[in-house]
Amino acid sequence: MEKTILTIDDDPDVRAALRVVLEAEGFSVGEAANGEEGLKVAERIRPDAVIVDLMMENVDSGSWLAQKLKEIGFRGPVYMLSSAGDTVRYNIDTRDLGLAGIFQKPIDPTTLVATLKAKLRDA
Amino acid sequence: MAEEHNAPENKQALFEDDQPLFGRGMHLGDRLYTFIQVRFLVAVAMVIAAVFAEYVVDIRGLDVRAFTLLAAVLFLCNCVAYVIARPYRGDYERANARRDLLILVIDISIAIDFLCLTVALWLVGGSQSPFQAFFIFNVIIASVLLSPRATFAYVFFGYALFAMLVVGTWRGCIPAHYPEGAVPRPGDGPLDGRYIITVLVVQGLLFALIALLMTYLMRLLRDGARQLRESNRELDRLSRQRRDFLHLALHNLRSPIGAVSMLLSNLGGGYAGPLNDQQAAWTDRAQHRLRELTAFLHDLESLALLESGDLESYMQDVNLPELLGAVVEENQDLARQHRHALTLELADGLRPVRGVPRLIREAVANFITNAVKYTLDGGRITVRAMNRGRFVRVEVEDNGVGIPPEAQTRLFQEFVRVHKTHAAVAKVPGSGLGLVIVRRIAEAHGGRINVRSHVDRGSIFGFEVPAAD
Repeated sequence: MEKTILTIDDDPDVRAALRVVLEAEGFSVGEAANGEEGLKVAERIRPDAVIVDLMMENVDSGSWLAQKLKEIGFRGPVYMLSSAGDTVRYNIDTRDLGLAGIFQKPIDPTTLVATLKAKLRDA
Repeated sequence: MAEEHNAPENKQALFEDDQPLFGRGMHLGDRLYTFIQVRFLVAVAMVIAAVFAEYVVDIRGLDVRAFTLLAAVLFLCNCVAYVIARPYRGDYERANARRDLLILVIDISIAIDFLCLTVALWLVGGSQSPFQAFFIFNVIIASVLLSPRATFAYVFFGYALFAMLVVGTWRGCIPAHYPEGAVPRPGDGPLDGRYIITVLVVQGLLFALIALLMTYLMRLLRDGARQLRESNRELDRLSRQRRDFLHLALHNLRSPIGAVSMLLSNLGGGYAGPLNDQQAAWTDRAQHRLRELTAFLHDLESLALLESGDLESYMQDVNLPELLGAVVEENQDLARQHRHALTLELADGLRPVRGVPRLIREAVANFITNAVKYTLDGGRITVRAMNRGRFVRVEVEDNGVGIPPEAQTRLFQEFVRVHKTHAAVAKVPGSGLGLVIVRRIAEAHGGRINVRSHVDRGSIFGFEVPAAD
């Protein structure tokens, strides 16, 4: 059965780049441009995995969203996209958020697809 | 003699070393002009004081003519100084261009002041005169008006003159002047009323002058301290603003670079159709350049953070196993891309450390990414932590290309990338700042950074952070 991935990033080019790779690899893709919108889309499409940008519009909305997804009962894997400097700059402890993993931007598409497929096959 | 270089509006000069306290806000020409005006007043005051002492207080034996002559010499010398200094009044550029001349005029004027003071003291009773306290006042004035170095030079000169006067009079080389009423009566007889008046006038004058001078100095110091507090507040604000701006700028630079890089990855991965060899090669080159730029931006941000100067406020007890686990986890993707085995080994009983978590993470991540870069694909990278005295040592070992011994000493200097000479990894991107950043992180924690390496066998990079207990 086709798996659905929700990508949440304020950069439309990043969302477009992710969509191309994921759709080519057989995933269905949902998109949102910020945390609140992402939460609404997650409730609507019930994704199998979520990829969320840590810093959106210069705010740590990724950590907030990871927490909120847990609160609305989302149990699938959440992957964080982060620029290397951001976790250091804001001292964000990504382990507290119960993440399945962190992808550092720019993401290597092969690694991304391999990781997602392995995780969702196990699920 | 050190003099003021700054323009009048430069208030920051207040606490510069080797600068006089008074007149810091004035340039050399203006200051000299002010001294000359004061010196004219002193010459006139000397004549008035001599006449007052002779005809009002009835001091007998005071050589008023000699006093007047002395005042005239001082006045004439001062006229010469006035003629020289006047064109430079209020003209900073001109005064600065003829700085040597103006300093010479000041030096000669002060030397003449001390000579006149010594002669005046001789005329009013030498070592027995209450006027000798004016020497102390002159020393205070010199320390206020001149640079510290010049003050000591002139104080030595003044003391030599004073000593010559005292010893010369004692040994009979210099004829003694003891105006009646200006010095105490010899023997145990009753005090002379005129001497009492002399003492009261001289001491009263001195008290008033010293009080005026000291209150002025205290006001200067208080103003200086206030300026310093205001400057510090402003510096803090600017520093915060600069950090925030820098972070925003770096983030806004990284975001499009990340997006472009992902789009290029898609192109290279054939998601928009197959590429011919030339297209694939150019896409690779573009990616390579973007990775270099990203690494450089990241290093810049870390350096900015280290230089912000407020690291102490971020210090806390750090659970090292947890932190190292997170860093290793975050870098597993990178290691997998090169088929490296990245593992973590923690010694038993590892003590918690005291430090800035994000910087320790940064240091370890830097070692790991270096190890990944400088180890041929399929290598082995091990992160370890162990107790070492009152420190905890964190090290990253790889079985990579290694570093020649002669290059190891230069490793922690800015913009040094010794691996570039190794053919297998010659194209590895990097700014050359990574190990400098780790060195600064270790030093900011009171620890050290070191490396052990053998060419073609691998390297162990380590740093120490203080244990929390």
